[in-house]
Amino acid sequence: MLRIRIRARWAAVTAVGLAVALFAAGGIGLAGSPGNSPAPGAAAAATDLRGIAGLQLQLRHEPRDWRSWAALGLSYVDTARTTLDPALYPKADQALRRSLQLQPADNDRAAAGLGALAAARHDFAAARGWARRVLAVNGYSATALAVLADAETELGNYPAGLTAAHRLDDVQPGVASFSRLSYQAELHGNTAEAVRLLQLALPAASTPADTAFVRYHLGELYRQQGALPAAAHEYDLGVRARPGDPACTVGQARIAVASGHTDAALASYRSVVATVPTPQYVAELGDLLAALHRAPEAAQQYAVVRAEDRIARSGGVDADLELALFDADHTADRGAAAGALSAATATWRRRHSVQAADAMAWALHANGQDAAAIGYADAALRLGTRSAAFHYHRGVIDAALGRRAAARAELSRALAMDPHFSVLGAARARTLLGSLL
Amino acid sequence: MRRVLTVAGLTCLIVVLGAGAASAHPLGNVSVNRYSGLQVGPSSLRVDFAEDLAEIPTVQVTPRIDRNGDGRLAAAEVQAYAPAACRSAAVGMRVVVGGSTVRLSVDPDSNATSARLRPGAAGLPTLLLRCDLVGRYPTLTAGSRLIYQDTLAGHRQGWSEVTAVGDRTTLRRSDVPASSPSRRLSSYPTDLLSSPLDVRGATMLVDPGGRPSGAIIGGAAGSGLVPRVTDRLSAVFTGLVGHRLSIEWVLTALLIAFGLGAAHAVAPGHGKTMMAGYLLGRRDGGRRAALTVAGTVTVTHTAGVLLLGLLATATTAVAPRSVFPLLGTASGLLVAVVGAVLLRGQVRRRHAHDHAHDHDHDHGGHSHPHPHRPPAAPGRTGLIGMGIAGGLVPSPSALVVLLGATALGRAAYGVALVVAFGVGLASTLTLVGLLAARAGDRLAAVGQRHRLRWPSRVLPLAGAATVFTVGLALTARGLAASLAVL
Repeated sequence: MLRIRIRARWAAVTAVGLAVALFAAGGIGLAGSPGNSPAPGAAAAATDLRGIAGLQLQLRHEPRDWRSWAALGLSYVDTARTTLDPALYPKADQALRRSLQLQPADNDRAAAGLGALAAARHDFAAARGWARRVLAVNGYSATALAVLADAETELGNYPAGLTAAHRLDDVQPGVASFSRLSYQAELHGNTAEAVRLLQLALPAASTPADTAFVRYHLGELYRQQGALPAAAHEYDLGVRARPGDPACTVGQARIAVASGHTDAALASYRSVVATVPTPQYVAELGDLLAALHRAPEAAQQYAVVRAEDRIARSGGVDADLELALFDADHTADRGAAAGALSAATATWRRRHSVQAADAMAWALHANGQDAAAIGYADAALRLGTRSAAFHYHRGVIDAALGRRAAARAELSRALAMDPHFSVLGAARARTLLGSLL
Repeated sequence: MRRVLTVAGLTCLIVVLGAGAASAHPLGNVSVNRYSGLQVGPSSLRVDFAEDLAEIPTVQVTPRIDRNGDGRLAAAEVQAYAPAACRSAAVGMRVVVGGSTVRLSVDPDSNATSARLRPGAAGLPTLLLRCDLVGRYPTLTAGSRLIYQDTLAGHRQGWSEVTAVGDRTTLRRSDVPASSPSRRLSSYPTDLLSSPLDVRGATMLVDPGGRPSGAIIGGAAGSGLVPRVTDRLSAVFTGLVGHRLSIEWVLTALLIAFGLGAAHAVAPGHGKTMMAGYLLGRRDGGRRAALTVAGTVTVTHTAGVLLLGLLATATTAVAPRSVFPLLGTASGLLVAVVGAVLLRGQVRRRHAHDHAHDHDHDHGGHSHPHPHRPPAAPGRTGLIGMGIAGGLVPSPSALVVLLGATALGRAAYGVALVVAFGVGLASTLTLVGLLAARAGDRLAAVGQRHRLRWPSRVLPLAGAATVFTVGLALTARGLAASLAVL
């Protein structure tokens, strides 16, 4: 039996793209008051912190002002979302706990803020706990409803997540509710509805960060349908709204890769990882370099991802799906396959989302356990999500199990859905498909 | 006095030790932190630049450091990275003086340019780069505008900071502080109510004429904080602090610090003359007296260095440069007082002795001249006073080492070096004291043998007079230096 080891990265990235969308959505609209929302990168850092600076000043004079402590904590969470600065989480945690300490009863904002923080740190069970605690007292807390929607969705309780998103939309329609409803539609394979809901969110976006967020996700929805010009347009508008926005710049880079402009793509990726070296972006750059047969440079980028992995693990942070998929994709490195499986298993124990199922499937495949993997690959597709990566993983596992017809169908579907879903994966998918005909 | 100094020294010790502990980067493991300390001279700008890369940015620059591509960062590779990195940093700095652009370059004569790995989170290193950059321009006219911009700052999460001081120039309307709130990236305020500083440039008006700012020594000292350290021994001492740490090296460094302290005590000051003078005239308990003085010198000196280090880093109000001459004056006055007390004692004693002399004759010329009265010296208090006077002026190089170590996040190491230095100082002084006491005994004994009375009478008087004179001279020198600085 031929066992196919296929290393593809963008496949994973696209799958992870969904998780990241959620992560981002986890924060959006939470801080509430417009003006707190930070702009990105360098130029924006000053704007970011203006709202925060005001709260800091207020708290220096009134250190017992629990409302301001809660607002400050929530602003730190929100700023971490847009600047991707993890150093803000411990500060957010302390500020929110200070607020709760000063005012333990009826302190919705601090409790909901701790929920938002837990969600941002991917501790979705804790996030759900905080949200429920707030909603038991105040059923109209928009922040708590948003946190609950994200937590239930990430835990794999999609109906509960959808219910919470609808309640949020009743209480406070806006970017926060539209983006969550859109995400639900996307997960259930209803791309047209997902686009429609995000377009509704556009006029409601009051800050450059919100606008860039919505533009990015619109762009992703278009790109995954192969509508590259429409996607490029959204990314461009996102970057115009918020110069240097990392997500939209990466979107532009993905378009450049799909259009064969690799130099432009490399420049975009490099500019992003030089400012926000998140594992996902760094890994994408590494894969592009690998696809260009620039292995030593690719290895340098992978070394950065591994370092972030090490820090995350040493900090007791649940090794994330991103890193599980990264390991499963880069099994040439010693211990990577085993690491992928342990990370995916740890995540699966905590939540049963479609992304977690996909990571389990792909990690099991990386360890040669394709018979076990196929069930998870099915679970990943249980909502009917239109994800080229999920189908690609499923097809590779089918092929490894000798189910040639099923493999052909899955791989063809993946490539039809998005011929550029991954710089390495798409090419591998074509090669594998050719060998199966 | 001594207790106060000891308590202050201990407080200082605790404060600096607390600042030294480090594991994860306080500003997050993706942060890039930059500091530019401008020293504006009449015809050149010096930029004391530091860049502190947290774990992830360090991994990102690794390909530029790891020349042989073995995945390891050898010390030599890290050090070789510094000049190139400093050149890149210099290219990103925009300086305009009086309307014309000034190019900065790495100062080839400086030994401050360095790169060093420090342990960070998850067993990953962080990287500290230091650059001594210089740019030259035509001699400034009054009111020249200087604009500085670090265009590479602010692109990433982290701390950006600019400070400026005049070096034989005076700065007007500078929009940046003179001293570094982060102590040159060695301690970041990370309380809940502060956000990382984001200062990437400075603008100021410069007038020629003003106090010289301190030299940057070994990339260690705060700019303008300490007097220039010129002698070679001190340069060696200040160089100790930046070296890569290992058990063997730390032990070696402590030994070297001890040796330098011992050598430093030979230099003028430290009350050697005074102690010798005093002990020459004091024939009983010479050894214990020598130990007391030497011990007090060490304690005072160490406490003084720690206290001054604390003041220099904690506030901008105290500039050690101006404190040194004042301390010198105080020390001189203290010596003069001790001398005066000794002199008075000797004069009284002589008076008493003259009476005793007659009695001696009545007894028929004893061969054993027993002391009729204990010497009217100031006793223990006087000894401690002399010790304090001797240790009151801290060694600038010890201070530089302490500040440098603190700036590098190695405060405990710096304190240990300063203590070793102080112990070295004490051993030389003890040796000198013992020799002086012995010489005094010898001279007195010789006098006895030849039935001469004058040595035992003249020596104490001469000693006391010497102490007094030295005190006056020190006071005059200190006053002159104070006037020059103020």
